Amino acid sequence: MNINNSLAQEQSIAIAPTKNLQLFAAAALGIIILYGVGFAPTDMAHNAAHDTRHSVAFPCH
Amino acid sequence: MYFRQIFLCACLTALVASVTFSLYQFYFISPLIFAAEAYEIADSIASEPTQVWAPEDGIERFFFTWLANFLMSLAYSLLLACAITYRGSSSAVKGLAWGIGAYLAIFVAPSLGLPPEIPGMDAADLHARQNWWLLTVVLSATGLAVLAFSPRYYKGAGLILMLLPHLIGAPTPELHGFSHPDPNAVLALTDLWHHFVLQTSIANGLLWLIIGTTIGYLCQRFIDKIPPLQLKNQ
Repeated sequence: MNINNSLAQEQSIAIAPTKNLQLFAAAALGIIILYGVGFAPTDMAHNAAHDTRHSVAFPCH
Repeated sequence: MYFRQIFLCACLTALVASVTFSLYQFYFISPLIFAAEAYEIADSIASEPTQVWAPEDGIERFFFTWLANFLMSLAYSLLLACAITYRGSSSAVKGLAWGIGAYLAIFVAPSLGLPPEIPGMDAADLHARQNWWLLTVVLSATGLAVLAFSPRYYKGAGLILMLLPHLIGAPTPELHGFSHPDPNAVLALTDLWHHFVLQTSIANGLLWLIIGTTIGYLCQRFIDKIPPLQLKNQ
């Protein structure tokens, strides 16, 4: 019982940093994708996403 | 496990949001862009001898626009899901509130200084506008978060953060409007632009409504209902 309790405690302590790290990773991925779609300066990225950039009012041209 | 759940929820949300947004865009926004481009192309056809790749008009262009819409929706869904999960439990209604907040911070706030533009408009330096856009979005989102979650005593700081980018002022071109030589064309373009601002405001509202409620519901269904230990170990 004691062993189980301490095991559960140990795991619940370890969750918080793991959760935040995973949330951080997911948010970072979101920001990278957003940069590619909305801000990447190469002509190809601009031309492919042109109508989207205008429609959501990203600065374009 | 949180990462996987958030990523899958965001993919599903982005699929729903991008299909709806693309349909609205196809019927109400793209015709305005094409009409404005007709003036732009007639103006500059001789001045661009080197052609870089661009999707062919027609089905190819719509496909790439949908793809860009999907990736953008995916990015927004990921960010919104992270914020919701970080704050705690979720639901469709909570998601809707987050979506409205995001619409205000990401579309409305920057549009007050830099209104949506159709092709062919005169605008200030691109980097200056991108920097101001980014500053406005970050400060407005932070300001809204402070307003919503901080103790009452600090809420004024949220308002100040939201106002700050507008006090700094958006970069403006020396001559705002259209540099087209024909005054009739300028009148037509201005009319197109007014329609464009209205339609993009509706379309972005729709986009955030769908992203907010869908990601809120999916987070509740696939993240909140799984016990934390399972989320960590699976």
